Amino acid sequence: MKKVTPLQVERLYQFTAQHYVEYYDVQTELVDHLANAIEEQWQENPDKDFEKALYEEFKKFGIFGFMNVVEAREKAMTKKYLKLIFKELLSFLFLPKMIMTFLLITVVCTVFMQVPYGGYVVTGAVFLILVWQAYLAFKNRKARKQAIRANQRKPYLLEHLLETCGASLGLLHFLFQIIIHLPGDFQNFTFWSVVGFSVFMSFVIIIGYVMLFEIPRKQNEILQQVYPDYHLAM
Amino acid sequence: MSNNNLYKGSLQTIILQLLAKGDKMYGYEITQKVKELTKGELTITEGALYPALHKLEGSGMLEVEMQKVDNRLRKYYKLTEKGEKESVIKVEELTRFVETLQELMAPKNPKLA
Repeated sequence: MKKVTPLQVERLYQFTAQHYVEYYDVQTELVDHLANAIEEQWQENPDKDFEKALYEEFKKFGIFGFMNVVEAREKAMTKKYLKLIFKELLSFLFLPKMIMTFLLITVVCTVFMQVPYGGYVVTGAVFLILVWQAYLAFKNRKARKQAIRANQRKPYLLEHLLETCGASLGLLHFLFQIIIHLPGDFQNFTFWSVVGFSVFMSFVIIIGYVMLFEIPRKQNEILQQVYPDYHLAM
Repeated sequence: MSNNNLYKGSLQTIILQLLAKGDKMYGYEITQKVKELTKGELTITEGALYPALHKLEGSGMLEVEMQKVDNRLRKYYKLTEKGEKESVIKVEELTRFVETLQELMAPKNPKLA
C-alpha cells in the first residue's frame, strides 16, 4: 500500500499552518487524519496526485475549513486551564495555604479601614498587580513567538495558555468593569461591605498569583500529562 | 444518507459507545468504523468529529495516547473512568429517545394514539 512520505508529512504540517492552525498539537492530529485519508484514496487510485488528494480531503472539512476544529480545541484547553486554576485556588481554602489567605484578607481589610482612601489604595494596588500580570503575559507571548519562529519550540495550545496567563486579560477587564461601577465614595461602605470587598480583592490577588507562579511551576508536569508526546517536541 | 444532521445530537454518544466497545481509536479510524458498521448509511464529517472529540477530552471523558505510526504521530483516544460511566448513561438516554420516537412515528396501539 502506498504511504505518505516524511516529506509529504512536512507538507501537511505546512498546509495546516497555512490554513490557520497555529498549534502543533492540533496540527499533528489533522496531519494524521489527512495522511490516512490520502492513503485511502491511493488504495483505489495509486497514481493520484498528492496535492489533488489533499485538496479533496480538505474540502470535506466544509466551508470553514479547520476553523471548527481549532475553536473546539481552544475551548477544551481553556476549560482545562480554568479547571487547573480552580483546583489551585481551592487549595487556598484549606490548610496550610488557608493561613496565607486569612492573612491577606486581614491586610486588605486593615488597609481599607485604617489608611486614608483605603478603598482606592486597595483597588489601585490590585489593578497594578493585574497590569503587571498582563505585561508579563505579553512578554512571555513575545518570547514564545520568537522561539517558535526560530524553530526552537513547537507551539502547543495549553502551553501557550499557561505561559501567557490565558485568562489574565479577561480578569483585568472584569476588574476594570467593577471599578467603573463602584460607588464613588468608599466611606459609605458598611463593615460587612468592607469585609466582602476585601475577600473579593484578596481572591483576585490569589488568582493572579496562581496564574503567574503556582501553575507555571508545575508546567512540565501538566503538559506531559495532557500531551504524551510533549517530551519529544522539547 | 441525505439527512446526516439527524445524528448530530448523538455524536458524542456514538463516539463514547465505539470507544467503550474497543480499546483505543484515532479520529480517522472512528469515521471509518462508523461507515463500516452502518454500511455507509451514516458518515461522520471531519468538521463535526474533532470538535466532539476535543469536547469530550476537555470534559475529562477521554484521555489521549500518542504513538508514532508511518512517519507521523497518531493521537489515540480512550475512555477514562468518568467516560465509561457516562457512556452507559448516554446510551440509555439515546435508547429511550429512540423508543419514544418509534412510538411517535409508529404507535404500537394506533387507536390510542
